[in-house]
Amino acid sequence: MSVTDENLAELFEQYKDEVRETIGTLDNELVAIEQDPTSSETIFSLFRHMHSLKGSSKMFNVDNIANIAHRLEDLMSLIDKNNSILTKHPKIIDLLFKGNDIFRDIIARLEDDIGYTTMTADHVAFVGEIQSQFDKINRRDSQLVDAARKLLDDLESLLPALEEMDTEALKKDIAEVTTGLALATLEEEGANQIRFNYNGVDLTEDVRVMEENLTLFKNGKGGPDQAKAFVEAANRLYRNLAEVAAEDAMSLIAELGDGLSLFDEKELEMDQMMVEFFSSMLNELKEKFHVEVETPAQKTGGGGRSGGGAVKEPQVKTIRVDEAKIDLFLESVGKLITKSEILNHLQFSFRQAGIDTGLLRDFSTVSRTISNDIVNLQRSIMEVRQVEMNNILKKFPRLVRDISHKIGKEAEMNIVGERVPIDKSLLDDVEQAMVHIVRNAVDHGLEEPEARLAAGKPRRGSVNIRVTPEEAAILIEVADDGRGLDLAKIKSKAVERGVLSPEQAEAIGDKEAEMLIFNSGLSTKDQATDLSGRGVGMDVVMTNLKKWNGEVIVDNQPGHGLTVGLRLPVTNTLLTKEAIMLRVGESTFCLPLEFVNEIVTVPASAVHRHKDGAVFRHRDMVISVIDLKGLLGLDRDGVFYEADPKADVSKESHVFIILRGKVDSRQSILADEILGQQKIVIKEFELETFRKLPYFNGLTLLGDGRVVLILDSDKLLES
Amino acid sequence: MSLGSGQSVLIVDDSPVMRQMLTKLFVNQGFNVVGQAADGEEALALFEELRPELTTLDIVMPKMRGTEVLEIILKKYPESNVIMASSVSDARTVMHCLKIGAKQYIVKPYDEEKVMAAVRKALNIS
Repeated sequence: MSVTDENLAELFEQYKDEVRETIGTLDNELVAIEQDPTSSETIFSLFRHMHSLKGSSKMFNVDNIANIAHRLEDLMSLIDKNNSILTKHPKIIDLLFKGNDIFRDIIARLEDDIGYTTMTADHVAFVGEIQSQFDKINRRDSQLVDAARKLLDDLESLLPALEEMDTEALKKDIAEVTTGLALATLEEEGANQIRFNYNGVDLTEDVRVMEENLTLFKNGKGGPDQAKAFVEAANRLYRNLAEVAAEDAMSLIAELGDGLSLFDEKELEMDQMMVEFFSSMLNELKEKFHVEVETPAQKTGGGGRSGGGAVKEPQVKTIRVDEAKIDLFLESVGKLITKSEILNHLQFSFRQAGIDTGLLRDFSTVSRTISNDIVNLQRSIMEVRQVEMNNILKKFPRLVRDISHKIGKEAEMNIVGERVPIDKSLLDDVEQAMVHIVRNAVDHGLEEPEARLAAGKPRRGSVNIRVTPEEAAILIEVADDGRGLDLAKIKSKAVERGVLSPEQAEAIGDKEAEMLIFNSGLSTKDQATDLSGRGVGMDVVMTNLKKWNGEVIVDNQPGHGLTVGLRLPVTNTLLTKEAIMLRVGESTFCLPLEFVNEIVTVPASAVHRHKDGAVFRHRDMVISVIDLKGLLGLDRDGVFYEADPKADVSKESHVFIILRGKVDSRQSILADEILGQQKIVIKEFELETFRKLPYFNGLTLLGDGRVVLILDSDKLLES
Repeated sequence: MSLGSGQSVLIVDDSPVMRQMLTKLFVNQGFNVVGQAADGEEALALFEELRPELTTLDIVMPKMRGTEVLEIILKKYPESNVIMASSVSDARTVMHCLKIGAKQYIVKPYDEEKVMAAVRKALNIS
């Protein structure tokens, strides 16, 4: 391993994260390059990512990724030099996709098996596929040139060892030349039958000597004499080839000499780098060599790197923090908030006790500052928990491509709002929901290309994702320009499946019918195919959304497309809230301010009882009173509406809290006393039993150490 | 015995993992890593701002290649100690960098020993 062991485990996690990110980016760039195969910007970016993958994978000894990325880097480098290649060989893009899938697979397997770093048979086969692409691109007419090129390959791997004249290393290098296809070919066909003749120079004798000696080394019979013979022949061949090669190839050879003296001068190590140095030198030489043989590769266009549609990659300085650590941090901040409430409480007690000195005022100021600081701290931690939508969005172009290819449709995907932040805890559920929606949009929403043309639409359908941050929510919309929902068909299916009675189906409006696509009774896979609407797993969308208090918005334009929107509240994860504390009977509760519409004091005489409860009039509205004590099973003694209506009511008044819910409410609860307003830290119920408590959504710890339940107005309003 | 004595180092690489790895190596050896840059433009800006005693420079990066960064830096501050640390082993690139004044050139994968050997030579530490 390349770094000290204690650093490695941690860095290795980061390495994997980085590779995962790169894989996502590659997917997008591949989709982009498929649409614009000559974009030099995207080509270069693909090259750069393969290059980076190679570099970091080498550092972590993940040989399989390093090797594959290396070959793909070479391929991209070739394409970078001639950006018409992808147009002529579109299969390369599939190959690149496949490579990316292999990276993904390796990274996934590394989770369980840290040793999954070597080349498997599949990986080797894939490298073979890459090689054959190379061969297709580089197909030469002349077998001779091929053979010469392969000999150069062999030379190349021998040169570093040659430099040191170390037979051990030479032997090893020769052993590694097992991939030298040239030799295999030569052995099979018999070297004597092939004349190596290049531009009038006969190379056959040199080739024969080299081959003989190579074979000896392969069989473990090589020694200093064989090495010498080989080196001499190799040098001769090299000179001969150089002699007939182009002038710039010659200058390269001169540069090689320059390079050697630089190495001496700068005392560079003769190591892996040296090998790579010679390899790349010779690679260039080979390329030059080949350019001489066939028509020069046309460099189309200016090849400028600006403009173009490649996926931009913003550079953001980041640190990686374990999610669990952040949660722990948040919890600590939660405790701090409680502590600062204790300070407030103390201060209040001092004042109650009649202590009011300059010291207490100082104390108050400090305590207020602390409280503000803590809230700011908490806010920034909450932001740390946020990630950009791009984390999930970047996989969709690939998804759309794969699905549409599979079912013979044409689709493009546009995404707006990649940078919108979303809480990390929402990611998985949002992603799962979006996958279902997007898949359905392509699978069922978009028409076949011919049908689209017939309908006067562009042949290629589009699926667009737009993410919009709202004040207290995030809105994610998936819009397709397909056929939209056929509500009549959906309804009849619903009846057929027993989801609705014929009467219900008749009675429901369009909006309700649209929502049927999220009904689990209509959304199993086999039904979805004959249901011309959607349905595959769409019930999952609803399940996930409900978990986060989200809502679904469906905009159906029959014939023109469907938009499915998901709105997720972001306040959901904010753990502190301003709340009022209230006493009901003997109990104290708190009610977050966001649930409070208004607090009103109403004379008892203005409250009208009826058999199920009570109502009062407030600003021309009739407000009903939720029987909180009844609902909660509290002591009913002294419940106001059981009081004698003829009692003297003039002295008595009641405090009502008019609730605010998702919809404007005309309901209220009665508080026996409002105790005050304060910041509370919401702790979600950890025990399943508590989660089922019907009218609460958590608990909080007060400054004086008491535990208080938090009322949930939505749940109360539903009651 | 660590090699460095608080010399300031700027690390330039587009891969966060590589930056972190190099930072650790240098910190372990008693250097003071004063900055990290993730692309060529950032590298130039940070170099101007920090004027580090030593810079490690990657080559294939967004916005500006390390070779260009090297040229600009050396034109303005010819005495700068820059070690190229890249997985580019292309002969012409290597030679170009060394010719115009990069002190050393190391190719990924490198280990602590290799990096420090290059540092020793670049900074003339005996």
